[in-house]
Amino acid sequence: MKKRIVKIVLCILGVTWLAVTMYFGISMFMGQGVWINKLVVMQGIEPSKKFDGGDSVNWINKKDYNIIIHEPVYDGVFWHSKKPFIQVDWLSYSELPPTIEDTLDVTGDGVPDISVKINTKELSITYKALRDDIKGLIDKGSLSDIRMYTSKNAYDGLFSYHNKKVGDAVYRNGVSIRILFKGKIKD
Amino acid sequence: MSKYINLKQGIRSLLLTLPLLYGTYYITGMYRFSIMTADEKIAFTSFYVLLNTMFFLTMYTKKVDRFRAVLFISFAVTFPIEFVLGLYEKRGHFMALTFSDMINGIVPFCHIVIPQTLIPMIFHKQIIFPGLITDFMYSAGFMIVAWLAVSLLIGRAWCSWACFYGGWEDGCSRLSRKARVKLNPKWKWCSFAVFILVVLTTIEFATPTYCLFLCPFKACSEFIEVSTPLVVIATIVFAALFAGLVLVLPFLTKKRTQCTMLCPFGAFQSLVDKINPFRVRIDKETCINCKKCMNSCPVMSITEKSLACGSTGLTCTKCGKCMDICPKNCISLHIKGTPKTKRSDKIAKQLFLYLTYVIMAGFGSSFIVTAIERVLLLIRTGSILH
Repeated sequence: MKKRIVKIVLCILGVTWLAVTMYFGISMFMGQGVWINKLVVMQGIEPSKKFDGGDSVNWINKKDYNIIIHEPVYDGVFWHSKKPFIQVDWLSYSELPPTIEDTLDVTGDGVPDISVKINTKELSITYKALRDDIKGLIDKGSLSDIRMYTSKNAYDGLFSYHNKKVGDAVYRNGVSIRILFKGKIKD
Repeated sequence: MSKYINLKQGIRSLLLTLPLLYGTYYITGMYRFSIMTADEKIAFTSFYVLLNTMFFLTMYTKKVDRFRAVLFISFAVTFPIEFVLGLYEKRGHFMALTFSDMINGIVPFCHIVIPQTLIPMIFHKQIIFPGLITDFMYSAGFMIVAWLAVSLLIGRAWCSWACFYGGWEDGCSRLSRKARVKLNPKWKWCSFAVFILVVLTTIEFATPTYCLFLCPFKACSEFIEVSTPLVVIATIVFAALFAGLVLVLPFLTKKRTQCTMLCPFGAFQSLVDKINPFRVRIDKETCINCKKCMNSCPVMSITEKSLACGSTGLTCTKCGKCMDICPKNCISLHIKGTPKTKRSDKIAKQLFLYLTYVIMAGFGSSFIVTAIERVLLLIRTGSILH
């Protein structure tokens, strides 16, 4: 008798389990848009700063383009590595000038850190480090059709604008570089 | 002729196919038939007919694996066609992934990266991948929700029914008649080691290390532009793994070696499978211990130990091969907790097959249909690009 009751209880549990998984599984499979919103977007999940470039900390407006300097980004999820990078973007509403020359203070201490010369057509970059702890450039790339939220003073990284669907495609062209530092950035 | 055609069985199979015909009519997009272009009409109809024919034949012959394999291998063959050409249309170049693509966010997210991204996603709300979260068919959000849905419905059967890479190995493992090399089942634990390793290294370096260095399927999707010595090494590694584990070893061993020995998603999915109530059961009383199932299992999930326990091992992908090959029909699908009767097993199998074919319809309508459309476009215009 006891065995039979256990069997019935197990059977009820098994069928309930099946019903629950089928309900959630099918509703997720058929209503992906709703579930993406519930599970991912509303939870505030965003791409890693390592790929996103991190939040912007300084925005410099120039005649033909804007320069956006991002926060230092460190490797690692739960702990930081010793070598951060800082991403800098040159963004234009139409075309970037063929050559760009800028001296930038990327660390925000009021002292220029790097002098950069960019050939935007060939995407060739030459630079002169003005401080000892700059190791070099790790990545460079061109940007296109970046939807950006321009009413804010700063923006939270490029992907956010794709993800949050805010604003129209404002910036048509751009160039990004990443400056690698030898160790923790000193102010 | 009557030996091959059983009318009663045919009618029964047709009746069982009717719900799927109705369901897949909507899932594959066939309901838009009247507003489709001529190419679309041919492509959608071909896939719709193929899918439902495979289901009908599964019902008619009671063989699961051989008809599953037709669709599963079609996935793997058509996926790169659609994927690579789609990338070209979006980015202007084929398979090489550049830094520009990464910062522009046009990097498709793939299910294999999920186990690596889960911990940072849960604890830091960050996805360690250079792609979009929404707004794109292969976005992280889309793949994560699709993975959750499929895991709830069929568990690790994802690896035999929904993965758009596994068909490569499945196909290669079917090319030879006999296994020329025998693999020790202990190799299957290797994928669990890879899983732990890539999860830890992803946390340490904030980079999906499996995608960067090991994933062999970059050979049929996309890979990082070769620009540094490190990327050269990574390219050699993944190309060698593709040739070895996806093409050569499956042919020699008749096993899905990459899925069994390397894939961290497969290992992770073995654990996730526990949330799903479908299980493969081996009836110890009727089993004659012929070991045909053990030898035929493509993921080395059936061992002497699991036979003695009356179930398949942790890595079972519910492909149905063991059920088809068993001479005593003592291997069956059942719902955990339900009584061990033929009737309940039959219902469980039927339900499982409906779910898997619906999932295949959902995924296949993106790859197979669009690949057929492109082939038709090529025939008509001489160009494979839209």
